[in-house]
Amino acid sequence: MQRPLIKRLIEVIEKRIGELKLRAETRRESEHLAEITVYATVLAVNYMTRGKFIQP
Amino acid sequence: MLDVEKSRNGFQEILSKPIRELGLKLAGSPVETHVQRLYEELQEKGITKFRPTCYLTDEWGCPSGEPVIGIPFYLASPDLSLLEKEMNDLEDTREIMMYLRHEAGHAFNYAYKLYQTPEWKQLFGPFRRPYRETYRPVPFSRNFVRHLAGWYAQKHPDEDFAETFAVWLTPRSSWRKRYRGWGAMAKLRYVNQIARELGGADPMRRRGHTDITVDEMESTVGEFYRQSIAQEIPVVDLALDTDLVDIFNVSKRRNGVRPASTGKKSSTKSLIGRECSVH
Repeated sequence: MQRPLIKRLIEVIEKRIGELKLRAETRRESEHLAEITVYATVLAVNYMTRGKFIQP
Repeated sequence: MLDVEKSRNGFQEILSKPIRELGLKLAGSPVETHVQRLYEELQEKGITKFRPTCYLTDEWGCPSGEPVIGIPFYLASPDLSLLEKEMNDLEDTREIMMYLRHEAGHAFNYAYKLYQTPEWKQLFGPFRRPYRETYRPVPFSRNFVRHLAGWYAQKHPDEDFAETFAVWLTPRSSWRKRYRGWGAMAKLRYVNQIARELGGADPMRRRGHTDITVDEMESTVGEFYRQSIAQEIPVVDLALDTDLVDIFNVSKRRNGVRPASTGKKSSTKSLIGRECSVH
């Protein structure tokens, strides 16, 4: 169950980042990556434990 | 147009075919080697008489009470595996073995009717407890092993046994060390003990009935994926904008700035690869 969930979630996040034309600083790539990982993890874990995407 | 048709150029011929007409067989397929590996792992653990029959079907599973293992049909064909990878998320070798060991746990349980014994019920709970797709796991509970993602052992007593069996069966899982001091250890010890007792014994149920087999799947591949999409978890309605703007709060005027989501080196593209390889 989780792999499709995470993949779908990341796809939706990525699509929205593109639509919003958001930008990343190359020298802060690891920082961006850590933040987006934590964000997606919280969404996914909330879904798994509470049955819905409760946003942090 | 549905995504299934829109983005699957090169798969049109497969998508329009009924699954039963694809001529899929487990024997000789890429996934057969994994089944053989499962049998070898059982042998190495001293289980010599139990070899669950495996068959191709629509998803991973073991029909309730039946000592047989259903394997997703797309794993039997490289082309279908590619399609699955694009549509959903294809299991790698490690995950295929994780699922096989889990399903072997169910099959072992049913083959020897362990779920009817008082000891099984005492450790894992009532086998007849209603099965719910949604469950609320306790992420840090030490009363359950962790194998498949999502704290799957907490879903149902039957899943708890299957997960415990899978951990026990996994080569080099070091379960004695990893689960030392955990409540789950009693369950692992039970599996270890029962496998020792029954390892050389003929199963009470040697054969089982399958649910739908690949030869009975009348829907086309396209219909199968359309149905999967309909059952997908609704993530499209998430209000992400504020959080994403906070995370990627970067001025366009700064040097060394690039779009966050385009190109193969984008942060989120990288994330998909990394995230999906870690559990």
